[in-house]
Order: sequence, then C-alpha cells, then structure tokens
Amino acid sequence: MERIVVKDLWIKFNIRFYDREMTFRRYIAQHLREWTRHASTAPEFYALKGLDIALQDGDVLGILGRNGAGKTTLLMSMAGIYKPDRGFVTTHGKVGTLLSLGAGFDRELTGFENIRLYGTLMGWSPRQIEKKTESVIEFADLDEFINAPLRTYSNGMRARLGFSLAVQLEPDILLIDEVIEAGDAAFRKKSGNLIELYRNQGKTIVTATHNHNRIRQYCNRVLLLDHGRVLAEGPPDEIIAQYLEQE
Amino acid sequence: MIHELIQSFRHRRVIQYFIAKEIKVNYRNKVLGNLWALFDPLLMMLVLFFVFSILRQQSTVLDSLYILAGLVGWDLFAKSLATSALCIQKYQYIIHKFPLPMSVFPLATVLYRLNDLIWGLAAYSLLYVLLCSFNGIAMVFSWKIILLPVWVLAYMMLILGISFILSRLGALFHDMEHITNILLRMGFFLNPVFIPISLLAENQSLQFQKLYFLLNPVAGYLITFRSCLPGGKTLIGGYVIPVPYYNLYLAVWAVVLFFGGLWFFARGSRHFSKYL
Repeated sequence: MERIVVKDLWIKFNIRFYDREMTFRRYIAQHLREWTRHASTAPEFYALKGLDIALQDGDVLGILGRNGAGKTTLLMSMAGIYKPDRGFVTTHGKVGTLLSLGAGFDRELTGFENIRLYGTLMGWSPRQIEKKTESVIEFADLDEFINAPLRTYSNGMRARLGFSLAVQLEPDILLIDEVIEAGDAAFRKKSGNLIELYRNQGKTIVTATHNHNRIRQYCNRVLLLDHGRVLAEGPPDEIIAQYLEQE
Repeated sequence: MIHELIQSFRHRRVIQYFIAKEIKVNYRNKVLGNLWALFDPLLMMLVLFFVFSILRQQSTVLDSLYILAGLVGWDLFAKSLATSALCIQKYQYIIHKFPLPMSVFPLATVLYRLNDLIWGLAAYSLLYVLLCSFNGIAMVFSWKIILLPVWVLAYMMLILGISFILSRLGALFHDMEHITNILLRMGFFLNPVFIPISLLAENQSLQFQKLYFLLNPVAGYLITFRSCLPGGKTLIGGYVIPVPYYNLYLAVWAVVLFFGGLWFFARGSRHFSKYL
C-alpha cells in the first residue's frame, strides 16, 4: 500500500517574514521600498523545488544532504506541519514524528503531564492515555524524573521520552530527524532495535541523518538532496559514495 | 473558513486540554489559587468605588455593583484580546511539531476567560445579596437573567472575531501586543466600565448617545450585560439605549465579526509554522 505520496512539492519561505524581529515599522518600510523601486527586495526562497516521492509499506528511506539541503523541510511537510505552496503531500495511516528534541513538549509541565499533552494532541482518548502512560514511562526509563518539570531533563532524557511516545503511537509511518543520535549507547541500541522491528513489520520509515552506518544498516532507499532538488536516488552504498564524492 | 471551524471542533479535546492546563498553570503555587479570579475584580472595584465616592460626594452601594458588573464584562473582553495577540507565538513549540488547525489556539485563549467570567458572576451575586441585605434594599430579580447565556454567546463571538484578527497579525508582527494593550487601555475609559451611564444620559444629546452606541458595540454589550444581571435595572437607572432593535444590531456585529475574523485568520494561518 502506498503510504506517502509527494507530488511536485514546492515549499517557499518568504524571507520578509523569516526574520524573527519583524515589526510594523520594518514591514511598512520594506513595502514602501519595494513600491518605489517596483521590485521585490525580499526574494522568495524555495526550500524544496518540485519533489516527487512515493513510499510503500516497508520502505525505509534515508535522506542525505548538506545543511540547508531541505531535509528537515521535507520531513516537516510529510508530517503535515509545512503546507505545500505547490503540489501536494498525502499520507495514509498514523504518522509518528521525532522531528526535534522534545517533540512538542512544554518545558514547564512534568514528564507525566507532557505524556498527557502528547496523547491529547494525537487524539487519544483519556482511557487510552491512562493505559499507555505506563508503558511510555517504562520504555523511556525516566524513573522519578517523570514528576519533574521538563526543563530539568537532559537532552538524552528528552529524546528518550519523545522516542517512547512515538513508539506508543504505533504509527504506520515514522519520521525521524537526527534525534536518536542524542541518547546514550544503551538508548541508541534500544531505538535501533525498534527501527529494525518496525522495518520487519513492514512499516514506512523516513529518516534524515548524517550517520552513514545507520543508513547502510536500515535503509533500502536513499535520497540525496541538494538545494531543494533531488540530486540522486537509489540504493544506500551508491548514494553514500556519491555524497562523499560531492563533499 | 468553515473547514477551519470543523477542524477545530474535531480537535475540541485539545482545546479543553489547553484551557484546563492554563487554569492549572495560572493558579499553581499560589496560596489563594483560583480565588484570585474572584479577588481581582473585587479589589479593582474597591479602588474605583473609592475614587468615585470622592469625586461624586454622593454615591450609593449600587455604584459599587455597577462598577463590578462593568469590570467583569470588560475584563472578559480586554483580557481575552490582550493574550490573543501572542497566542500563536506562545504555542509555537506545538505548532512546529503537530499538524493542528491553527484556530484552536485563539479559541482556547479566549474560551479560557470564561473561567474568569464565572468567578466574576459569583462575586457579583454574592456582593449583591450581601449589600442589599445589609442596606435594606429590596432585591430585584428580572426574567432577563435567562438572556445571560445568549449574551455570553454573542459577546464571545464578538471577542473571538477580533481575537482571530489579532492573533493572525500578532503571529507576524511582535508589536501587535503593545498596540492591543494601548487600544484596550483607551477602551477602558471610552466604554461605560466604571463611568455611570447616567452621566452620559444627563450631559449628552440623544443624537450623541445614538451615535455612541452605534459606533461602539462593546459599550452596548456592557450595558445589556448589566440589565441582564439581578438588580440590573436599578444599576443602570432604567436607562434604555436610544436605538431601535439594538439587541439585534449587537447580534449582527457579533456574527459579522466572528465570521469575518475567522475568514481573515484562516487565509493566513496555513503558513504560520513557517513564519514562527
């Protein structure tokens, strides 16, 4: 079954708004400047330029590329967070994401409350949340920290919590963005086993990582991105070689 | 636009969660907890009543109730809008990670204020009963109290409409918060929050009063709010807004602003996750 279909996907960032410190004054000043010069001073920046991808059950896709190639943007649009400016992305089934450390977590809430938050956002019923909380805590291996606010957590702990939540979702599609590298060896092994298990269950996984070993180990396809375009697609060894050559 | 509304309704549990969380976080680690929602308008009322007693020389207990009712109605409006300009930024840690309909954030921000309204109404009722029995004033309960839920619904729609507009602008421009606060401070004095409506009735022409209520629906909402409360008629001294079908006019404002605001919000909210 086709799990992810990406067709002619374009994602645009308007540099004008990309600046965090946008104010009315600057906005109006910029507009006046553009108006008097009859040209846009804030060029549009395309992070993805016309991507086509189709993933089936059991596909494990690795995304390679330099910083700024569009890896994260692609994952974010597959997760439905960035809406396409042209083309479309469709996913079939539950999507679990591990897009950054502390996926959607509130720093002021405790680990326990964050599990509830995540469950609510994923549409779990209160009963389901209750049931899953225990297994999340167990998998994440957090012990007494579960009742401490998240800001007291280390990066590894946050990654563990995020990962065990994504697991409890029992997703059909798992999107991973370089986060699992943050845990310690034991956790990496645990998560590695899990990816292996998911792969064997025939789920669809997309991962962006610089860890070539991981790609060789798990992926059956690799996508090499460069400036928002697909440079090459194929089996891991071939693409990794091409990527290393490029560098 | 309608799609956005349906999507939000599907995620109503998320909205509930945000409201519950907000209440919890706001009153956590505070000795008086949720009672602050009760004391806030009461203390403000005391100050304003004190100022007014000095200025007017002759003031009655009814004046304090008038001020309290005004504060409860105004705070619902002002506090909702003051927080909605920043609501998208506040929840950006979620927006970056979950594909949610964006309208859940202003909805949760505004609906949370209903908590304050309930406490405010409780404070008002309590004070009304107390003051009346201590001063030997006969309590008046009008049938209009059943209109209160209708009033709340319409008022919330008006507030939500403005809140949608503010939250879209606030997501892009960080100075929206300051602009909103300045406008709200002006609104506090331009609306009949604590200034007696009798002053307007005595000193201004009928023409002016008409124009005032036509241009400023919030003032109309504050007056109708009082008239729905127990003893409300005595508070506003039997004042009737000199515009025919005025309640209908208020309802039209609510509907137009709600759907207009939602339309404006839905048009821009698609790409919030990129701008934040």
